Amino acid sequence: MTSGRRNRALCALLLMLVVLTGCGQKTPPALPDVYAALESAASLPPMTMLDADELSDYIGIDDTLYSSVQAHAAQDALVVDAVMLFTARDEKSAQSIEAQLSDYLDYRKREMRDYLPEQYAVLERAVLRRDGVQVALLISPQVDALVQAYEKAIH
Amino acid sequence: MHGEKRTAIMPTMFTCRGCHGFDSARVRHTRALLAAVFLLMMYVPGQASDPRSWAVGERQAYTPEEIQQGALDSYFTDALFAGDSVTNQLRRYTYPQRKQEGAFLSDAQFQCAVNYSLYTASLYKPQPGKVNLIYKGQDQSLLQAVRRLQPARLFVLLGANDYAPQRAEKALDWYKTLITRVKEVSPDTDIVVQALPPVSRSLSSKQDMRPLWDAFNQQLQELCQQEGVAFADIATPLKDDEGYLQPAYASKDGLHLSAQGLLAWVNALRNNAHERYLHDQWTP
Repeated sequence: MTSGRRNRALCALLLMLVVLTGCGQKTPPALPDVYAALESAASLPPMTMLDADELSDYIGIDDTLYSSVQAHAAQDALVVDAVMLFTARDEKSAQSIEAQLSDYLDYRKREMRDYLPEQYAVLERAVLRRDGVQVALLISPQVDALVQAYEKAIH
Repeated sequence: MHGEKRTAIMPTMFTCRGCHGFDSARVRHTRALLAAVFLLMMYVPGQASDPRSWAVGERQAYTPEEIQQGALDSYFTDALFAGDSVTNQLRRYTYPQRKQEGAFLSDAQFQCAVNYSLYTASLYKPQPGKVNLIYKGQDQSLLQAVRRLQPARLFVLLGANDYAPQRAEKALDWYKTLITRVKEVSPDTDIVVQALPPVSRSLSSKQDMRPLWDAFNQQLQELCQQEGVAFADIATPLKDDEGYLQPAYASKDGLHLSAQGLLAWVNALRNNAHERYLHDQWTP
């Protein structure tokens, strides 16, 4: 075998290894880990996890749109804190989830606007973001800390 | 209750004064036979160790413990709770309870929103720009929800955001409209209107709100009687000796309920279920 052929064979082997190991592809972050990171970054009130039925019936996010979810809202109905994290099935689904969360945020603002001004102020500062297939709605008086922890956790 | 009364009657019966002069063996045998027949009539298998007592009609009363443990929670099966932030508190309270206990308020559903008004609830369609209920992310009215769900029972608690006690006439009109329309969109639904919970002492610092609240609840109960729907007095069990909301049942703002208050509310509804059961108004 000549050195040229040997080099080409080595290159092909390397390429095959790269393809087979998925090197270069980013695996989506595990949402329970992301949520745990957010929990340690800010002091959230006692939270309750929202199940698929509630997300669908209430917010309108069907479970066909996402492959993974961590949706938590304050146990106290008069506290607006919420952390909702989704890994969408694809970009289009991510856009749909983002749109539904945006409507939900508007709805919460309508509820609180003339009722609990301090909670309305928290909603005003809420962050809704989409990073590829990752969608997050972060509502907390410490939203900056949550955003910082979220960025670190997903990248 | 009836059992105790019957037991008390027995000694009088067997020492009847009129029989003392004829105390022969035949009379004694007849008495013994009568006593045996009476005891047989009283005996129901399994009854001897059953802590329940006989109650209204043929129905057996449950003990307070059984009621609070949810023995009659089928009352809430296929039920819908409709209301404002207070009902929303109950909704948020219910879900973790269901995760822990498996069942809580049976499978009752909730349609509620913070700052939701009785007036809005009485309309067929959601009000643009106002607080409505939501379903699948879309605004909907309570009547649309009731039409869609056809609940077996509808528990309504509304009026605080309309200042109902302060303008009772209007609020009662809205309640009447709501009841009429619920009957129209879901004729088989058993409607249960709940009293407004009592106010805290802290909210009565400038003006004593108790008479207003009590008068409104009284009028609401009368309206329910006229309209042929059930009324659940959840207010009385939540009051302290002076008629205010018990401090342990109040949240920080004095208007909403603490976790303990929410459980007391649920137990008040369970007791209401028991009362209605004893009066043959529903069957578990």
